[in-house]
Amino acid sequence: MFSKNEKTEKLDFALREAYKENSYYEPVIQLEWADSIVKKIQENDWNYTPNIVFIDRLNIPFASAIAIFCGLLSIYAISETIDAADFLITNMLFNDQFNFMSTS
Amino acid sequence: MKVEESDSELIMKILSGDSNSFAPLLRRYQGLIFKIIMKYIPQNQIEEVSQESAIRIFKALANFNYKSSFKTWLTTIVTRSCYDYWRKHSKLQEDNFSSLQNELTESQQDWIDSITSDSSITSFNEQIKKDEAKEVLDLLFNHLGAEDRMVLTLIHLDGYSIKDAAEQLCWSESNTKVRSFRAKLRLRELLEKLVQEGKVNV
Repeated sequence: MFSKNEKTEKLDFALREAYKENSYYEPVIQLEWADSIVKKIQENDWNYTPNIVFIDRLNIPFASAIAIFCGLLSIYAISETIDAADFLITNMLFNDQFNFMSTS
Repeated sequence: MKVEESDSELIMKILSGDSNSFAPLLRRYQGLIFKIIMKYIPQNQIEEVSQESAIRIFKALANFNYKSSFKTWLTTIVTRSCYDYWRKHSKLQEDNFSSLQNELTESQQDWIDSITSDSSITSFNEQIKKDEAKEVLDLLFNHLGAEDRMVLTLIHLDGYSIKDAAEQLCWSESNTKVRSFRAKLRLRELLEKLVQEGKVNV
């Protein structure tokens, strides 16, 4: 004679074993299943658009690094331009070769 | 001799706009997809859920970041599709299990009585192969909500660890642990109800 607790344990164990028995069945899949999915994708125009998708595929840290690099490059380019302009103006004002203000 | 393209090669081709490359990728994993779905979804709904899962995989391909294997990533999407199916179709949120006993057929009740009273291993091995075993399991699961159903199947029946189950369901580990504990208590309650009201007392 089994107690209620034992019976519950037995039923639980039996159901778990029955589940395992059922899990062994190999699925029967129609040969054209994968092709039918692709057809559906194409019919609904869910295709990926070349080039655009690669932006999606960049992961965030990599995209952020590129953005920071571009930003720093822009700052460097602007500062170099200012320096060059400064150099040119200074030379134009004080160098004899460019000094239009010279009276000689 | 034609060399089979790797998963990542096929994925790159799909993402470049060649959707036909999805067919060989899908053929490679269709057995796994159906095996997962067969575990969670009723027979008459397998086709619909498998199609939905395949389309979900296709649409999410751009988000696959190669951090895990493609197989692991695909398993998560398919398991999640099954969970979403039960969230849509499970009518039971709070169930007092009162109708459970009335839903049992005579043969199912006999099966429970036989399992809980017989101690012979030969008989046990024969009993678990019977249709009634699966029917009783389905009946029990119909009295559980989507979360309980999924977490019990993964942890209690399939033997996944909390960590793996959490990954597949996209839940946190602590959440999965709590839900698993509660689901096991509910299952226990259901099993006790079946045993308590059995006809045969040996």
